[in-house]
Amino acid sequence: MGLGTYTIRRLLLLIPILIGVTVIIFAITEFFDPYARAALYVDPTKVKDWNAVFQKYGLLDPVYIRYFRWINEVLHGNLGYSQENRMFVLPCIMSKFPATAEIVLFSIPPTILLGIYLGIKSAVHRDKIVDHATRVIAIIGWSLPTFWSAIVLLSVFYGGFGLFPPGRLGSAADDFISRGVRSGAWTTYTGLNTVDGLLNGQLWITWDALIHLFLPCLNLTIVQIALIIRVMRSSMLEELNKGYVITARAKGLSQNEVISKHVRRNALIPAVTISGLLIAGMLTGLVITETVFHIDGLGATAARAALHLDIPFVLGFALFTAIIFVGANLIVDILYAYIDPRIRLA
Amino acid sequence: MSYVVDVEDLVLRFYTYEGVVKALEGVDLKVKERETLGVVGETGCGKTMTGLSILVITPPPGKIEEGKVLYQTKSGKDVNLLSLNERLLRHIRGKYISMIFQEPGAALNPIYTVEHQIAEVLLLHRKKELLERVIAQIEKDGIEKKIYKKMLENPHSLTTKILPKIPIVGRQKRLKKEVKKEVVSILKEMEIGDPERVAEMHPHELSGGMQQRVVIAMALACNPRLLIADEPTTSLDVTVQAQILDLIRRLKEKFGSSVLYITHDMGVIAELSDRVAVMYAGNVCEIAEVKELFKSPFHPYTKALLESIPRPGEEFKSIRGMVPNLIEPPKGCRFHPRCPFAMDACTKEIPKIKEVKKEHFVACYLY
Amino acid sequence: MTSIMAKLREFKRSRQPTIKELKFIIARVKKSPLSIVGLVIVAVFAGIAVLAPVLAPPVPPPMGKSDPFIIWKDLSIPAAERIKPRPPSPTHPFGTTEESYDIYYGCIWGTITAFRVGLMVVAFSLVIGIVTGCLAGYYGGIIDEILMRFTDMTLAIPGLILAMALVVALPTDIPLNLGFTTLTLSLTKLDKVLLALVLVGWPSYTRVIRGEILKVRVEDYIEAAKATGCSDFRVMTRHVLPNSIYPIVIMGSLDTGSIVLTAAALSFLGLGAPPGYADWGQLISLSQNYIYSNISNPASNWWVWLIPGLFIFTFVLGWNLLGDAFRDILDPTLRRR
Repeated sequence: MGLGTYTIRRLLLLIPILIGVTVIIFAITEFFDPYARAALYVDPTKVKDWNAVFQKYGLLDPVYIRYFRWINEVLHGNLGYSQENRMFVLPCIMSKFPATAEIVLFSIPPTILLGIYLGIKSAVHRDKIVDHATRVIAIIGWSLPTFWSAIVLLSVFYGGFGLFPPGRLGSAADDFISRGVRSGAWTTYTGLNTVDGLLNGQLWITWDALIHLFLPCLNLTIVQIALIIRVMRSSMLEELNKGYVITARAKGLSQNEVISKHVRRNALIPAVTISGLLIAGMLTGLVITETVFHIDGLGATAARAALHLDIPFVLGFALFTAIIFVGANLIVDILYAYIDPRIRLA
Repeated sequence: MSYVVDVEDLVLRFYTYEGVVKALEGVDLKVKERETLGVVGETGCGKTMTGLSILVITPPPGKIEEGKVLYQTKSGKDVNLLSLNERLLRHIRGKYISMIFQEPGAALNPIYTVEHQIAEVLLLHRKKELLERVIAQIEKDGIEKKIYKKMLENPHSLTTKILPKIPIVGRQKRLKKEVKKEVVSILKEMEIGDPERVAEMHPHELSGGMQQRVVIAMALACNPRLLIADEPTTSLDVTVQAQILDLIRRLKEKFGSSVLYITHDMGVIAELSDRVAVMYAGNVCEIAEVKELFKSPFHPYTKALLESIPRPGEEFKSIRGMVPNLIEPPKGCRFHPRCPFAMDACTKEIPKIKEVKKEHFVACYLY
Repeated sequence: MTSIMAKLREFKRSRQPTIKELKFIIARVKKSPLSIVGLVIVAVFAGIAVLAPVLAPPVPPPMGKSDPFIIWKDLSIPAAERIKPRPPSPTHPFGTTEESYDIYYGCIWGTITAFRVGLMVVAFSLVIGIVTGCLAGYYGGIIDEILMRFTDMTLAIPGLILAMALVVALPTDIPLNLGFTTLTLSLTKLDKVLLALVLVGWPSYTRVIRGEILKVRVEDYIEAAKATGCSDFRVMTRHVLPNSIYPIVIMGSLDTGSIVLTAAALSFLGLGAPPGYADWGQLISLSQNYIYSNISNPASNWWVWLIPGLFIFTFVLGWNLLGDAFRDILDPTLRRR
């Protein structure tokens, strides 16, 4: 089966899972009474006639009807109204998304690349200093509570040395952007300050954004890198015992060549698969990291929403992250099939 | 005296958690030009390790402690492979001496095509020849010809290293086509029907016999002087086994190489080899021409081995006792606890192999 | 007399393989200092948990409450100054938080909470996971399909986020209609966290166990057991499960650590244990305001987050090291080197 056919098959498999996710989320709403559930459709502060609302959205109908009505609303973009944020959920998510996306974009490549590199080094120099040091660092990172490491980083770097302040931007940059949006001097192309800074020709804003991104991304990387290191190391060790390694050596390849041309690509396969889990870990870590670093992204907003029992936002957030996670897994699976031709037969 | 590889007094030890495994304790072997030397023995007697030692790719925690592995170049010079540095050894592996293994499926990298894996050997050792062919094909004296010439003259230059990484310019289409042509012709030699299609396939799409042919193709691609074959047919069906043995025999004649054939199957030894070496527990017991060995074996182990071959109508005859533990091997001749002719001298020191009859060597105190 | 001696000798001889295994395991443990560190850490924490009433005796009201898990507040400090955390002192070995809760007490009794949360969630998730995993793996077919789709769906939502949603959604009182009477199950905030974590956690166990069972199911000795007439249940419990045990042990110990981390995160966000409860994450969350307003001067409040945080970190580290040690020791393919 070619790569294209495999992709289509996986895309089709996506649908039942997404349906299942919606079922789970809907099941959670069942814990609430119809008045609270109304927030999933309309702004409860503006409701005058509750009966009309109940009729319109079928809030008193049997479960399965309610489910389909709800799905209908979701597919039309109505994820409910967030009382905490005083706006509808979907636009709220969209407005907070860029801040989160920026952190993710700057955290994933270092985690994956550094993780793979250290994993390979660890396996090739098994039981030597490099191996022990890497494994110790990895396991320390994995054991750190994300919020605690965030506070430690902030206290040490910002509190101790005055570097890398919390938040997304310094006040100067922030002012510039808010004034610039109004005056037309600044166009928000992507919502990512680093990219927008470049596109607007204001490199100092890009730099400012990067300074503010350093600690949150470091925080996420420290915790997540352990996973990649561990998987990469164990898959390398497994591959190094395989028959094609000694055949390659018998052909006349050096140990380094064997590792880089043969072993590494095979060993990457489990690491690619685990990258899907990496995304989930990042999304989870974001909730806390954004809270501690005072970044107004999806994670921090969701944490606040949960604290104030703003169910529509929490569920909207859950649905959103689930879609991202499932999408990421799809990409990972296709990548996996690209590297390993054996998988396409299944 | 001409030979291809001469192993002298090879000692190989493995340093493991459970103790030091004395895998090879003074192995003496010689492979002559254009001959098939069969190495036969039970599992664990050190045949594979001997093969790996010749190429100096014994896996850690193994260490070659003593001995020599002499290789005689075409011009008659003797080189001790154990004294060469890694770079020179890589020059020899795959080109002058190559090795094939038991499980062909495991020996092939599952994510690369057949063509890719055979091309790897070709580009490693025969690149000059291929480049010359490509250059001869280009009529115009343009950039393309210049680039290839540069690659030919200075294979380690910066340009040669960086060029393949540049997307469109570094494609080296002509070279790749030439390589593919060569790969297809090699596959044809392996008696593979439809070699173009097979070249595009991945190992898991091929049957066991096909996979082994591909492995042999990789090993013979650069026309080595010695092919070490470590039980290449053990994991295949009997009919396929016969085909592969036939193929090896024909290729050996065609390419003029020697074969070191490692197996535990006496039948295959009888059919394929010119001379036979019998190994037991890390030592060579007996070396003789194949007919001579079967007709008049000298070493007690060889005798017992030949007797234990099942014959119709007769009872099973097994050798009493068990294969020794190589961490604590018996003192002296390692076979003496199971030998019906054991003497006092056998418990003191390992007997040295010596010529007892013309071209018939035995390591036993009986002679 | 001699027959007893003979029987003893026979027993000792029959146990030789086990003894050899144990000796090998001990040798491996000795070679890996990290395993010993992990073991020591967990043992020390277990000791603290057991000795909590001795190490940090509960303080009677009015400063403490009748529930020993509520941290006592130092009411001897005048009300105006109570909001500011105090550095470590003889009365407060680890200092106080905002609102003058004693950190030392919170950390010691928090150890019990940590064990409780970790072990209970793992235990329940394991039980559900084993049952569902066995059903899915052993019987296959439609049961397998349904269970696998269900785990897929649950696992599609990242753990902490699903836990957040569940904690918010779960009601405090669950009426159980038993037909003749209705019982009301009261859930404290911590109970909600436990329940949410179990609901989020069991699918991972199901998948692992199902995977192991699929591997073991096709082994020859299972065929043999069935051929001698063993019932399905017997085959499952006596043959399949014991051989699938290793990954479960490894997963369980690693999970204990990560569950405590997730629970601490939830407490930190305010969704877990209520304020004043002896829970490490909660301790830190108590002083959140103070930390943020004084972030440029970490020296002024380091004890408030450093000490409870160290407890969490060390506890999780211990379990992670232990889990890794189990994996290194129990994985037959990585041995003998």
